[in-house]
Amino acid sequence: MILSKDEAICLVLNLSRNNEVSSPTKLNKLLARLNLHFIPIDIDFSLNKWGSFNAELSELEGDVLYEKDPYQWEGRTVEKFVLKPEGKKLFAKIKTKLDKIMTTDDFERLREDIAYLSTQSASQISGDEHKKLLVDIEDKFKLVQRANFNTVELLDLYSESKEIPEDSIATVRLKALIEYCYYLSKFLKEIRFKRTMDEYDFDAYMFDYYFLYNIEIIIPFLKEQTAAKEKDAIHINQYYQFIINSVKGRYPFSLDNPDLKKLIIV
Amino acid sequence: MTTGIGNNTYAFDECSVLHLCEIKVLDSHKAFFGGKSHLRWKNYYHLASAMAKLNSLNMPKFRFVPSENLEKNIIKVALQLLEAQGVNILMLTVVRADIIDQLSDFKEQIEQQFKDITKDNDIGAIQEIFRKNQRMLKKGSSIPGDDDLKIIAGYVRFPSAGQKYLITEDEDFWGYKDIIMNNFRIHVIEEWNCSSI
Repeated sequence: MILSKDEAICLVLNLSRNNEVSSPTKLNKLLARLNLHFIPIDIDFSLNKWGSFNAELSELEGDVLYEKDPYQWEGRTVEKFVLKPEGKKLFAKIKTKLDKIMTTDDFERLREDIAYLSTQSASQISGDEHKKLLVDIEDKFKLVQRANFNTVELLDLYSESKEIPEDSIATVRLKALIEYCYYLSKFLKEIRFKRTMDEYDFDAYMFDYYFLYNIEIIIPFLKEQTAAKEKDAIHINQYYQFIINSVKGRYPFSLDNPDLKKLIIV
Repeated sequence: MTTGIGNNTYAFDECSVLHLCEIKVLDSHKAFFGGKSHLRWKNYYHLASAMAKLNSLNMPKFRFVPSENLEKNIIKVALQLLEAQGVNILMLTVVRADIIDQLSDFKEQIEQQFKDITKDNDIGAIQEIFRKNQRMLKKGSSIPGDDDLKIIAGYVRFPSAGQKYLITEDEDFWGYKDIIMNNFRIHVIEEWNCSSI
């Protein structure tokens, strides 16, 4: 399950206040935020001074789903994005897709988060993202701590998960998720974040940061599910889809990479 | 009574339907599978040939519903496919989960090509026949499980102008093929013999 670029834009516009987002930069930031809600979207982000960034999004023109509407702000013309009726129709289809990976409560949290952030400035959204993802230079030591923490926690979890009987698809997915997170966390620790950088990491690929953050977020869930008799199939599927399936062909540590073996640290 | 092939009923058990799935090998793992791009069950070509023949004759294919053991059967077939390769690979559970995803998607797509035969829960009399004729199978002394018996009960009740055929890889069926034929008039065809239908 992955949302196309148009689906992701319509989702964000639908959840934003008045179904509009006041600038391309802010739209960029709100789309990136979907990654922190474990929603797979077909948009790549790199890191720039203002956080997650995709150059193509800044060049977006309006289409049948949404339009660009110019307005005056502090003496200059800015263009906001506004959802059109066709975009609202598409939202029903998007919601059906999301229902496979999100509960009603998850969706409400997403709605509240995007609605609130849409009232904030792009720099405020970036600031919040920076804090969460630890992309700033002064946070590098915390980033390394996070990479170490994830690897140590997953080493134990991976070992424990081998004892879980594979009696349902949810259980196999849970074990696969733990196994994948274990090797991905080693890749992040030993390859991507091996050396702390003294400068801003302009070449960074944002999935490095999203994965590091999201893995830390789900470790308590993985621990709980390892012990639970009844598995939480919806959330297992959500994390599985985001971490394993969403980056196929778009990230070095991916099941579409013929050279993945070289990145698996045993 | 007309007994031409066109009046016969051909039904596949759930694992045999799943055995028709060609699994795309993940790019990351092709090297572990000797460069193969796809994994196919050992009887895949027999099953595909039978399907092609039925399709060419414009004959319906049948499956049994409800599908109460679908998850277990999908997991079983995924394990069978991997065990048949006999390879030791990195991130084995991830590969298994991917195969399970492909089998699940395949099942959803191929279901539209099959018509349904409803299983029957009234299995007491059928079970008694197997109890009286219990055999030593390869896996040990065993009679067909409840779900297998529901398949037989449902198939017995299913109206057919011609012969009834059950295509399966399950020893619980082919290990009792004479009993099933004599008592229920159902021809059990092993997967590896089904291309001759």
